[in-house]
Amino acid sequence: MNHSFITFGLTAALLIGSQARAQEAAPTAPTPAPAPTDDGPAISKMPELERFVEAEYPARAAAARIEAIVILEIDINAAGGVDAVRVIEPAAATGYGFDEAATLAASKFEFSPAEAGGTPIPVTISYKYGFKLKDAPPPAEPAPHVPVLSFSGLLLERGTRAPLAGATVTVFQGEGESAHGLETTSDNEGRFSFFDLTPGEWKVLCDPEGYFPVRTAETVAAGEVVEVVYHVEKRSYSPFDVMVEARRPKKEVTRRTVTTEEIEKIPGTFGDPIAVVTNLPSVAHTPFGSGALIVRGSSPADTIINVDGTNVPYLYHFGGIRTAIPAGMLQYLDFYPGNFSPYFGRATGGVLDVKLKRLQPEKANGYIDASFLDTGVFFSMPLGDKAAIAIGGRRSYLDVLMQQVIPKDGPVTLTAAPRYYDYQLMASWRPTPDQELSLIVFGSDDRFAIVFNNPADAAGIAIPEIKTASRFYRGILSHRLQLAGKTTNELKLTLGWDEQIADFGPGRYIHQDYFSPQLRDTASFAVADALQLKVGLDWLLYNATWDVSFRRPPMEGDSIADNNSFDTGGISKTKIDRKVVSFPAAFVEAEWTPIPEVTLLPGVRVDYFDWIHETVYDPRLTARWRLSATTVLKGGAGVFHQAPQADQVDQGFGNPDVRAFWAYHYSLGAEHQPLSFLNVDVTAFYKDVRDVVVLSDALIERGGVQVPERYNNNGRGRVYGMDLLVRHEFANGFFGWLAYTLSRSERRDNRSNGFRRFDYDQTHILTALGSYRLPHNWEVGGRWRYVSGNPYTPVVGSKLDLDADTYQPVTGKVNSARLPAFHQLDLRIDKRFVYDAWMLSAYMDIQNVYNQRHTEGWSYNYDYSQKSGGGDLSFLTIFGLRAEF
Amino acid sequence: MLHRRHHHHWLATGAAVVAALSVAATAEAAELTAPAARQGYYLGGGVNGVAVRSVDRDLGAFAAAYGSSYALRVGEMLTPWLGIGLEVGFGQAQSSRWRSQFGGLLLDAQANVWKNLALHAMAGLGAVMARDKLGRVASAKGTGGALYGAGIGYDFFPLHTEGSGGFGITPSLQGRYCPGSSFHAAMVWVGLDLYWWRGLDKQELELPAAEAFTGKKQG
Repeated sequence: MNHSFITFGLTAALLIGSQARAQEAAPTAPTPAPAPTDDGPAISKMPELERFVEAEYPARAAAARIEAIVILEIDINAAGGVDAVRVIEPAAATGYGFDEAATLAASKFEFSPAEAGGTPIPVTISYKYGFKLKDAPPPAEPAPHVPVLSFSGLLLERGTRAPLAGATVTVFQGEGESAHGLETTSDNEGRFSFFDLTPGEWKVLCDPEGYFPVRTAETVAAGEVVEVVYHVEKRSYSPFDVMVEARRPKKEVTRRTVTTEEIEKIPGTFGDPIAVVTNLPSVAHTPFGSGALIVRGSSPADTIINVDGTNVPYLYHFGGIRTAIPAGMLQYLDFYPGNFSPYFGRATGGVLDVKLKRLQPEKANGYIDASFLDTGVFFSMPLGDKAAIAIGGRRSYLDVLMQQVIPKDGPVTLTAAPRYYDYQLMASWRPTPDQELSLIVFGSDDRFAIVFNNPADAAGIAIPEIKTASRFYRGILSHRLQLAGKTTNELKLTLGWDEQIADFGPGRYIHQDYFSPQLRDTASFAVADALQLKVGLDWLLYNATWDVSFRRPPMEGDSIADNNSFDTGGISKTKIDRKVVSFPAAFVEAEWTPIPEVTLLPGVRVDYFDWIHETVYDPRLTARWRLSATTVLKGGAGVFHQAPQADQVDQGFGNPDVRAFWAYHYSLGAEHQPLSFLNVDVTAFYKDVRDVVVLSDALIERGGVQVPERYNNNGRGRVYGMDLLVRHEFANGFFGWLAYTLSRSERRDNRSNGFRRFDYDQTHILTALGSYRLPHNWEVGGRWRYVSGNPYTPVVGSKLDLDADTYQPVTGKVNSARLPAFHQLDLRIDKRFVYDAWMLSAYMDIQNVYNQRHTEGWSYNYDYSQKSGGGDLSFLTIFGLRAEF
Repeated sequence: MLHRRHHHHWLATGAAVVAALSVAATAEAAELTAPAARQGYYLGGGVNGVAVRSVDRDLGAFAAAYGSSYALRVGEMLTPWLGIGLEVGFGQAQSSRWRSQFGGLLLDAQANVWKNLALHAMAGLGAVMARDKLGRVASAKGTGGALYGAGIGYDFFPLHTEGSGGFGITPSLQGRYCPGSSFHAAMVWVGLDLYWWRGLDKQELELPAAEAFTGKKQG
């Protein structure tokens, strides 16, 4: 028997399910053969593929995703090996190598041989070799693109370094229709970024509203990051532009508030806070710009000055040159000309409450302020998120200037040229959002001494020297607590020390010092929806030391005859060593809103005046009725007690039996707001002052001895008039006000029959002031004042005192004449220079622009037959510079 | 504090950027100033011929004295028509009998009323002192205090072709008055000043894009 390849004719039926795949192969078994033919014995067993060899999928075909089927003819020998492979039907896709790959793979197949009658025989089979690709795997996700930072920057406001948030920054290339670019917005820190910018020059535009645009070009290089800082300049740096005035609700009949920003711009005041108050209604003009506050016909001693609720003895250096508290420390001033809350007491005139800044700086900042009078510095900075600190100080250099100007061999020698300094320290800590602990320390020191080489002769008595020194220190520790609802508590502990020294030669001196702790606690809470209560304690102590040898202090109503000389015959002496006097007080005030339009504030204050052993009661009531959204009616009535001055009750100087004096305050007025920025306030007032302490020439019996009474409570005063304030808040670049007071103030004392004019009775007080913001950070302001002249006691003649060999004046009725009216125009110009990280402000304050001569008093010749007017400085120009960062 | 990452976004077409730029340009044009010579800060000085007429309460009117004066001026144009500045000036004049010296520091407000023609109003501090050359009056006469003035001047800019600022020449005529209780004096100044005008910063100027988007600060 020949071994021949038996062809089974399997071509059609034989399906070799082997398929080559590009990555994987999955061979399948051949299908059973059909019935045998006549070519030989019957096949009892088909060949079985025992080892399949996967063909290598042609790469080009795989890449092109081409599949194919190749039909092969395979000669299988009796051992099961492959003797030959022939392609009988090539792949349809030619040229890819499918035939070759299939032939090569098939040649390596191994079969179990076919058998015929149990004997292995060679056969020839057809084999279909298929090339099939598996489903293509999903394309691998491209690696995420990481943006590459190309250009980043920081926007800061020029001058203040404040970050500019929310500003749109645009970068672009090309012009016109071909311009293309990107834009972004700065974040809360003023930062912006651009990514994946192509290298080259990019134009940059940032044009936030209210600022000058930033237009520049930056060059971006591949692989580099351009970092810039743009200082963007505001179109205007007026402080009013950033003032967000959350108006405190008004409860009082009359409360005038002046902010620091206004204080610094009012002409003629040299930026001095207290001087600004003199421009408000109800405040009289004082000669020589002294720091005295004369409010609705009251003596200066009848008006109290508080700093953050703490009593201070005085606020001016040398009586009126500069305030001891710089404007940089202030938040605002509240001024009450009358009918003030029971929170304030021990005064029958008015109240000036100076509010210091609540420290909440966002960054370190400060300033240096220099003028021809002094230089001051101020610096504040945050300490973390919850604390802050500020320090400040100021020193004058009048002493340096005067020592250069006054000749050494002149009529006077400066042993201590006038100099003053003041200093401040503030710290605050907010451990929790509802409470704050703060410490404020401030102080002032004035000193001046001259020696008269040819002693001055004031009506015959020599004054060899004048030496004065005044100092005060205050430390205020405060704790503010805000509880649920409207419940608050404020506790203040103040330690203070005051010293005043005045020497006018042998036997004439005033030395006094006070250690004055004060405790205040004020709690406020809601009793019902429409009823709020405020209760408080105000305890002031004095530990006083006096050593005084001097004539009695001048009194209101004194004439030139009373103040004419330092006659040694009129000297009184007293000495007190560490005397403690106590002034405890308590008050309660309700705020009741029976209907939404009406607010009633009844209250009462109780004071105990230790040095006269007297308890006084001050009931007070204020009412406000809102007629409409723009109009309010208001009124108030109350009792206000005040203790006499220390020298008036001193055994050596005064009368220990003198009592407290007091006043009824009545006021009625209206407020109207015709425009959002315009306020009109008119108030009529009447004040009835009782038991005024006045001079007495009487002799009384005390302890069985005849002694001069010196003072008694026989005085009486009355003040009546009206205030008008038309106030333009900052709008359209302008702020200002028109203030007018029409009043009459009278006194009755032991020296007058009936009422006569008060020393500072000024029938008309008119002030018109305003400040206007110009472009390029210029501001101009003006103030014009017209004030009726002060009353004075005329000299109607003189008489020769043969013993003293001098003439003594003969006076007419007290305050029966009036000085010429006062009027003056002041101008102020401010210019601010803005730099990247700081600003420089320069100002020029011109007082008395049209050089009006003022008569504040009369000087007489030796026999009082002639007089000449004496007044303050006429035309005066002051320059100042302030650098702030 | 929240810190957001800002990702740029490509504008769909350049038209959006063009539109933004156009709006910005329009807004800028409404608030920016066209460059001109008479802009920004100015610094100048000059020489003047002076005539002085003084009146003393006791001696009566003095004969006119003639001389010269010098002034230094610095200031800024706030708007195209309003400017504020300071002037320091001093000088001397004499007649057959009197020799006068004067000086002052003035605040100067000017109004540019027509092209480069400016009217000035001044107020400040000043002093005038006169001495008798013949010795008949031993003590000097004079006054010090307020000083007022008014003037007119026209600025020429022969070298200016474009841009903001430049050098200018200004002929001027001024009158001054120094009041006093016992002595007062009036003066007339005629002079020629040289000025340098700094010009406005680029950020304030209306400029073509090629000039606006540069690294320069000045216009």
